Amino acid sequence: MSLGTDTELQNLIDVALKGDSSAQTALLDHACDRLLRLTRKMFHGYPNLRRWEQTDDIFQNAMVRLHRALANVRVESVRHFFNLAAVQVRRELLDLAKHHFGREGAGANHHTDGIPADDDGGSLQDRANKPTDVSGWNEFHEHIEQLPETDQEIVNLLFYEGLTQEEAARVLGVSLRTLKRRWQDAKFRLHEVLNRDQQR
Amino acid sequence: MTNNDEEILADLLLQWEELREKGQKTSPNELCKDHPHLHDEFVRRIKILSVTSWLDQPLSDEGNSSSPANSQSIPKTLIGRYRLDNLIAEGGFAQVWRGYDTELQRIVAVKIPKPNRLQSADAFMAEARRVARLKHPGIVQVYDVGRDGELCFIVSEFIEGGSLADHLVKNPPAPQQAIRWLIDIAEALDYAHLHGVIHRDIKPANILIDHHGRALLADFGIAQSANKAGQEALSLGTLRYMSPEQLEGRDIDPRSDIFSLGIVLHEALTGRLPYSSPDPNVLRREIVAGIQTVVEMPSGVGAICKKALKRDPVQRHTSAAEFAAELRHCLDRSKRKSPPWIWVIAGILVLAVATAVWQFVKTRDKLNPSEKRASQTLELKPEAGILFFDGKSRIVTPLKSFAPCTLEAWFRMADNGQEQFIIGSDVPHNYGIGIGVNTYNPIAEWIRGGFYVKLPIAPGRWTHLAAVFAPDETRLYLDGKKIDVGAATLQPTIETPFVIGNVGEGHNTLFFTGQIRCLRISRGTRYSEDFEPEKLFVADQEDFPSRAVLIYDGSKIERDRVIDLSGEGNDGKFEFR
Repeated sequence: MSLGTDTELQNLIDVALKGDSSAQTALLDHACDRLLRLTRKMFHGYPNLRRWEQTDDIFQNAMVRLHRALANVRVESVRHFFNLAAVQVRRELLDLAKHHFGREGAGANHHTDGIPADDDGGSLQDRANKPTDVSGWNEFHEHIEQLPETDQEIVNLLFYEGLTQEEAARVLGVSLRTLKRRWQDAKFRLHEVLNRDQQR
Repeated sequence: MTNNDEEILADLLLQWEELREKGQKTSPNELCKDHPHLHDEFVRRIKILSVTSWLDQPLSDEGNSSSPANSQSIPKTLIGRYRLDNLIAEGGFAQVWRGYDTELQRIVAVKIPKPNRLQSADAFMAEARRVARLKHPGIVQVYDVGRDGELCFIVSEFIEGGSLADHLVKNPPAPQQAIRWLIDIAEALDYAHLHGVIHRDIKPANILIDHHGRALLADFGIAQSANKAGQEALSLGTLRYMSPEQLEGRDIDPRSDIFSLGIVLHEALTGRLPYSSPDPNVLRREIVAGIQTVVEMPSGVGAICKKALKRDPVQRHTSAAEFAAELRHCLDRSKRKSPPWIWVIAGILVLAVATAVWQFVKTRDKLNPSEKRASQTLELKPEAGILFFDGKSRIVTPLKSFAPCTLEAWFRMADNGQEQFIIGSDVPHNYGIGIGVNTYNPIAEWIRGGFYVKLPIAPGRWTHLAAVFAPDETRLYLDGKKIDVGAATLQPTIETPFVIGNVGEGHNTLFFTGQIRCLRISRGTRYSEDFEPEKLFVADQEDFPSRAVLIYDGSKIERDRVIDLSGEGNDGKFEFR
């Protein structure tokens, strides 16, 4: 996303708020574009899932959920919009994973082939490593939902929406340094919640 | 840990991360040398940051070479040939540039999909090549497809003008014009369907109207991949124009495009979508549930629209050609009957029809008493030396219709009050190259459309009608006077002969009743200015630039054969129903 895009999006939202259906459509197009990327990310490397549910079906479902959200919630800002979109797609992905794998299956095969840590440390057993299967992603998304709202927002912007740190700082109206620090804090808390169950 | 320690630790971690981003490594001991009591916690935290570093990878950076194409990353010239001059459009899927082909020295449109939107560049290229094989006057021609590094691109015809979407907003077309455009688009679509290509994103924005008033279908199958096993559709189309099966992700076939055409038809004629809500979510529900409110439309057109919008594809038109034919039938009928719906839909048309009738009455009033009597009760009879047509006969020539050409005839028509076909391509329910009379008004067809001039021709009066079908315009002449100029004449895409007096074997809706004294078909553009029509046509000199290739009159008929007097041997054959 370029620096100009969220401004463009903000303009779209402003117009949509005035009841212009064409702007609403453009907003929807933008949202769908983001959702398509997100769903592809989730199912990248998961041919088994594709067998059951085409990526575009998932995309369509996420879009419909987003439609509902846009219809019933007053979108007040780009920040609000990004959060809304990220939450909707995350919930869609969670529902999908549960639908296909069942609650008891979630996490069953998590990290059996986790990626190695880099030279700076890390552990194959650390549950904050990148998920490598759908159940792992399911667990990851669930734990994101358990984070405080401020942390969720950072994750939504930087991870789900793919904004650069500079863009995210602009959307949130904070300095880059503050943004970086809040991002680190969110990662620490995420690491904690992801590994909390294991420690019990 | 005190708050102060937390602040120091945060600073250290930011330092560590900045150094790491720059590719510089430093030891925790070095960084914590002034705060040794924080060393262990610092090490613990940088391990966490390392484990979670994958979160810093943007989603779009994963997999398929995913950095989006943007104007900064796109070279100014692709493969050393296509210069990119202006970015003219950008959507979620691609950018479209106005470009220049430096080899063929022509303006082109260059579409560059964003790499992250391409599930498979190879599949996309294969699809683009398939579309490039479509050659139809109603489809924006794809000239080339290629790659420049990781960028795929498509080079196509550059259409000056706007889209139907622009027209609907700024300058809504008259109903008959809108119907003609839809007919053209449906026929182009049918051609593509017959070649195994489904558009998937039919909408006004993808229908371009050029400066000659031609409607062309753009983005044909480019933004979408085929719905084949092992491939994923790259785009679902635009929600407002999607068919239920498309929205639901079911397998689609050409009838999905017909549904979208129905939506466009509805919007073009009424200015509204057949759905009640602009809300996307409600809209989606309405599409899926097949809930539509088709606004009152011309009776025939309304039925066509409703049929195209059936939720069950089986109940829709079986082909885009059928959709086009039904629309054309409505158009023909409206020309003949001027039914009430026209008056309801467009006051402009009311005015036009009223004016034409008034002009005709005025013209007829000016006729001398004998002509007036003839026009009112005219029943022309066969006469020696004159070709006679009763509506059930015609002459089929061996000449395949072509352009540029000049068609002309001396005729006097009976007063049948209908559209009179004189000479033209043998294409029932379609436009070709031809001349005739539309409810007393002279008319010419130029492949993609036709135009008539409100200068009523009195039945029973010998009249000379000519049209020059040139590559840059179509000129219509009445009694040697240029009365109007239409769009450029295209080359016929359907191989069909020139026929005289009736279109289509056994066809009974477009025919001529009356007498033709002589007629002539010439290659090229015979007339550019006003002229004095010759009373009889004779063969041209061999070096005449626009030489006649067919001349008929009633002077030389052998059994059912009409002998060509041009010397080219293009004898015609009478056919009778």
